[in-house]
Amino acid sequence: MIHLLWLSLAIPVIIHLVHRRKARPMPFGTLRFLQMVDQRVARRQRLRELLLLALRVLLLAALIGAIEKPMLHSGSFKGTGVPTTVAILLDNTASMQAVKRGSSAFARARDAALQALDGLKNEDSAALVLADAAGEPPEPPTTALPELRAKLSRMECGYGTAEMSAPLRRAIGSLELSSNPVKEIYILTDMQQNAWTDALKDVAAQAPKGVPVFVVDVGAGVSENLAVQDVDFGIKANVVGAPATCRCRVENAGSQRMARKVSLFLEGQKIAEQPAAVNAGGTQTLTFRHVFDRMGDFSGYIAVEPDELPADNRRYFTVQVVEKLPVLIIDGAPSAIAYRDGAFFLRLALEGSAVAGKKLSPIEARVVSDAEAASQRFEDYRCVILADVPRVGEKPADRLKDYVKAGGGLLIFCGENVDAAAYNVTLGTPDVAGGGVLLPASLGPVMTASEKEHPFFQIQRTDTSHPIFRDISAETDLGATRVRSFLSTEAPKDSGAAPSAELRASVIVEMDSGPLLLERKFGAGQVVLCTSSCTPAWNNLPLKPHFVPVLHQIVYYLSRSAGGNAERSTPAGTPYLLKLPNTRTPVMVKFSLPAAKDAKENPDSIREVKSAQAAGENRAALRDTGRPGIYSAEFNVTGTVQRRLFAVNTPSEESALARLPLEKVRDYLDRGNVVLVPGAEAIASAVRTERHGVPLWDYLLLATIGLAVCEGFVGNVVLKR
Amino acid sequence: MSKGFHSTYYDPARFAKLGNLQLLARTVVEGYISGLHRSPFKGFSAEFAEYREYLPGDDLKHFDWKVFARSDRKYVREYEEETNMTCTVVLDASGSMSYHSGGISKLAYGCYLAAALTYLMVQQRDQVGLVIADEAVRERIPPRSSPAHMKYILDRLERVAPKGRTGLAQCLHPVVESLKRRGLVVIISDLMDEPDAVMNLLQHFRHERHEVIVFHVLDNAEIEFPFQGLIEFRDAETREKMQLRAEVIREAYCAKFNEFVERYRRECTKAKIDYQFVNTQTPFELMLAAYLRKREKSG
Repeated sequence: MIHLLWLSLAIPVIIHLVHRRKARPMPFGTLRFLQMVDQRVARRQRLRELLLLALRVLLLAALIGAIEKPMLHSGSFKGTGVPTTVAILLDNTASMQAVKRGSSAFARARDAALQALDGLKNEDSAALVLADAAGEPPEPPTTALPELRAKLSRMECGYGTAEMSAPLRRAIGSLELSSNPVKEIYILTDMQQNAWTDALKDVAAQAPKGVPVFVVDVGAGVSENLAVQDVDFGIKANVVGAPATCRCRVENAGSQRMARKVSLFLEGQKIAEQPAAVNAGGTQTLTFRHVFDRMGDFSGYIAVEPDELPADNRRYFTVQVVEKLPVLIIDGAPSAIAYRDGAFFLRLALEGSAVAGKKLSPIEARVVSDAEAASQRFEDYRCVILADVPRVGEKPADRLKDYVKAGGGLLIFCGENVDAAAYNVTLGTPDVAGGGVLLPASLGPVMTASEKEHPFFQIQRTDTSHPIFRDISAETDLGATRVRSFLSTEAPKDSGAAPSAELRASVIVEMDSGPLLLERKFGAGQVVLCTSSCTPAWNNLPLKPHFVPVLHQIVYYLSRSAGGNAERSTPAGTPYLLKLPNTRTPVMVKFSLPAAKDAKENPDSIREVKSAQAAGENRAALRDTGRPGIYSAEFNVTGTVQRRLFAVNTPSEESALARLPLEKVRDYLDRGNVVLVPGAEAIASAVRTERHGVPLWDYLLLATIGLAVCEGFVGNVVLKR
Repeated sequence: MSKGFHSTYYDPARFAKLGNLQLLARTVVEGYISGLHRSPFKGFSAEFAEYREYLPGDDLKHFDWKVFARSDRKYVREYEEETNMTCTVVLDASGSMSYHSGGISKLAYGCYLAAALTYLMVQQRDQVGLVIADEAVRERIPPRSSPAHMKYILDRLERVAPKGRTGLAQCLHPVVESLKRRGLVVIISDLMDEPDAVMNLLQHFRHERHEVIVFHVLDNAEIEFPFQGLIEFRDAETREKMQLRAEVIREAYCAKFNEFVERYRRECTKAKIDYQFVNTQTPFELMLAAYLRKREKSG
């Protein structure tokens, strides 16, 4: 039908001819002057009329052309009707939940994805690649587009984090599974800077040539985002009846100062609330105190009032509350004279005095001799203290290593009885099963202060940011400590390569002539070494008031990891590994996801996973950790059902909403055919342009208007000159 | 003029507006009877001219006895002769003269003018002849001065019809050659011919010592070109057509046309030819009266 409109081009020609025939006849004396004039002017006149005719024909042609909606095909155009496969990389990380102008970035991305699917025909196919499912193998594109659209429409944004290279690799992999000649990749993202890494360059280079990559920026600048970045109950092993300290760090990741209320929730109940006011880019640490009235595993969360990114407004935690902390003190220098006894001051400091027959200290210390220690089960204690033990035999050393590796805490006090060489042999050599060296430092000769020149050593530096001293640095005067003797130390002889930063020893307290307090991580546990004694023989520390809190802090610090499974939190989207005692047969672990209040009511939120041996450990992995909240794991190893809680939280990096400028995308995707789409609303035209060409009708309509103006000018002004 | 005489171009009421005006020759003309105009011949009229020696056979009544008595010399008195004039009216009857833009055509105007001039001449007892031409001499009426002759001329004017192309420049040379006496030649035409050829013809007249008056008759539409819109102009002589948007070419046309007129005016003045530009919008008797008065004043 539209083609018939082209016949209307004849209209101006006919009008032109008819108009010429309609010239008024006029007899005239002579044409000689007209002919003289006509040679110059009339020829110009005819040209003008022809120009007018041409303008009118063009005007009509432009108008009809615009009605026909023609397209100008680009170089990569393959032709409509050619089977096409699209891979849609949908950024569903937590930052995509940022709400601006009433809609989230994910909602905009979802709309854009649906638009990218528009226009695909039956023989076309599409693959949906989620950014937070990078570990999954590439899925073959599906031709069931209605189902894909329905799935997309129902989809909700995740809470995980991801950088773009892995999902882009999956998208390329999906396209490679398709034999369609035309392929397209769509990256729908909020352009979060963290997600764009150099790894993308290599991945992008693997994409087949000629495949256009549409990068659609669905994000928007977020001005209000207060994020709960960290929740820490400190080093203190939480004990019934003792005040527990909960520190939370809130960060203002937005672009303007924010004041919000921060609340502590325990077991679903709001416990406390504090105001927080943070400048843009700043952080604030808030401290909540709470006294637990019973022992057991508790869960809760810190929440800030709503802002533009709700995903990071809540951070979950679990906390274990115990009745007493059992500590084993191995006394290497027992003595009938109490103050000479190696464990006297330790026991006194840890247990304290009793009031009305009841000990107030949460620590329950048991003192045994070096010989009795062989019969003790270290696993029954949260912390083991070696008090001036002369030497540790190979078997006890292995037991200690296993204990610490499994998460136990070990505190070593040196003294005049300690055989440094024996320590270095049994505890200072690399563990055959891996995990580095137990002893934080190789022990050397005793350093004793000179009576005249240097009567004692003084403490020069204390790491007050260390968890041991963080809470007590204000009321602790370590400068008053006088050390007369200590064992010199040097870096332990690690096997082969240097230990990782995590396993490297670090100095907590340093004197003017060497370290006093060192620590080292070993397996899941922690070791703290005091190079001096726990008796007044080598220093005055036991006689100082700060000895008690420092010792308690050290024990709490080391006890934190007791229980064999220190990690009680994991980022959303990251598999949670539950470490179990080694068993002959796999252990069935029943994980309950946060939605499941009652497994019978909602069996979909129950995941049963068999444990497996990996890296020398028996562990069960829960991959389905996409939603933040409190998860639980139930298993039976010792004949009794054990239940362990763990928290899944939005990854902290998702709170950083710094955006990569769209034009910088080409720095990462070094390809000729990268199409930058500045917003979800622009994707339709970008897709149309890529699939069908550049729409010409806009230009034709503009040309129509321009020609109409020219026609009026030529018809009414030029022709009458 | 008899009472039963009727002619389109003879309108006594309009001719009366000419009053006592006369069309006198500025130059000497040759006539055969005594009249109003200076003659190249010395005769015995009332106007003394000069003395001449007596020759045998001279009429003794012109002998000047007083001079003979005083000086014993024999002289006769000679007087300047006044003669009548022979006027030849050349009327262009080519096709282009048929054009009119509403009033009367150029040819009709020319006929009125020719009739008026004939009337004046006859009134002055001058001889008047008529030549009707287009690209050839169509009709030639020899000069006479009788009222019957005037009637004859008017009758001929009544029947003249426009046709053919303008070709005065070619066809009138023989006419020039045939004029035996010096006289007045009045050319009534739109001069739509090659200006050079036309000027050659006029120079030819002048060379034969005729006094020449050119009435350049033009229609107002030809002068001002007042047309609007797309018009198909048709040449009155050649029937050729040309389609033009009038307003577009008006300026250029007027420039060309003025140049054409000015050229005639300039070259006629140079050749001592009395050039009169005539717009047919002006009633001929008014135009003629004004012309004659001007001519009278300028002597």
